[in-house]
Amino acid sequence: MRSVATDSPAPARPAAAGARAPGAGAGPGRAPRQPRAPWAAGFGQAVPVMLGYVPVAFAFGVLGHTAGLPWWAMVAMSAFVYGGSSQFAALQLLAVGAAPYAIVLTTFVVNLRHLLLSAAIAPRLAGWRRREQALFAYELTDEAFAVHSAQYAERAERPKAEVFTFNTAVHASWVAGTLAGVLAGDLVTDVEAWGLDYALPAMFMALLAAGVIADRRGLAVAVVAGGGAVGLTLLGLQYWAVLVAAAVAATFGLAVAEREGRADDGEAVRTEGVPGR
Amino acid sequence: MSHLVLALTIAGMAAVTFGPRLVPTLFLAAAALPRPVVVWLRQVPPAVIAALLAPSLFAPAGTLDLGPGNPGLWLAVPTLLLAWRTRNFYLTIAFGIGSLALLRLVTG
Repeated sequence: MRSVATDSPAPARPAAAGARAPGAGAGPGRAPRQPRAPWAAGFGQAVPVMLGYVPVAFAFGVLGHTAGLPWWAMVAMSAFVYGGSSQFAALQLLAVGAAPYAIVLTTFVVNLRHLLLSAAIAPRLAGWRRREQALFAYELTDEAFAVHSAQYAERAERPKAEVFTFNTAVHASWVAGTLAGVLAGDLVTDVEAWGLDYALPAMFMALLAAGVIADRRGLAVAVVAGGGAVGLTLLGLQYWAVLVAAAVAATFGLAVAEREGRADDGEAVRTEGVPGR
Repeated sequence: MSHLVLALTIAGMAAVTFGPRLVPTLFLAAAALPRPVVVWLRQVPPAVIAALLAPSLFAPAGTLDLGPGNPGLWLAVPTLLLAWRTRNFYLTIAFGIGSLALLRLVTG
């Protein structure tokens, strides 16, 4: 399998993705489409993520079966923890009989990067009910963050039905894939045969190239973050790679923005007298 | 490990995962943040997505692999170009998956 350093994912591989948001209507230069129902738009955005999640979750289930873990534990992990790389890490630790506290601590470290995702997406949830914010946060994986960020960059207001349909569909595919893997048990599988291990990387590329990177500064930030994450991964710090590289790159982006003296979002604004600088 | 201990371990994992997802959401959703913080947070999406993507392309097995045994890296070039030129989300993903499957079929 290819790696995805993500919330979906794979042990030895961190995963990837990013583009114009599907369901958001037409891209520049394309004929506008019929507006879709919110749930249909959300489900449409979820399909590529589900394509990536199901094979990985399936592999997780098979590995759990092989390690002799009960089916309910595997399904519970996918339902309640819902963090790919941390689940694979926990599986390896369980297989070698590690202490529970070590497993919980490792999970905490692997999933710390969600602090950054949660902080970055939070302003989009202003005005939501607390329990809606909590439910959203519960299902905030790397891939969900990527898709929601791209969508919100295009449309500041999205129907909640769209957002929660996406989250529910993606989460359900993760749990269902896990259960299928547990049940399939000894069936050996080769997800690579279908190229599906490229679904998430391709999605990240689509999101990056077609929406999230708005200008040269965004491109520079992405290059710094990508280079930093590769470097940290090669140093064996894959669990810290996303958090540290992204934080450093965002700081770099802020410095460039301040130096260019522009407002964010690439609007070139001469900034004499702009408050806050 | 007994079933009870296993269940408690999973509960602990769930708690330490949900915490970092929940706390910033609840505290920052309605907060009036200083401008530099807002600008910094706007850089996070491209930074995070690139940080997720790059290691899966350059080091799919945890070590640097720039050779022909790592087709995903070379396929990233046309995939990114296609995404940038067409801005078509589904076309890009279909192209990536299809190309890799085809490549593996051809090269065995």
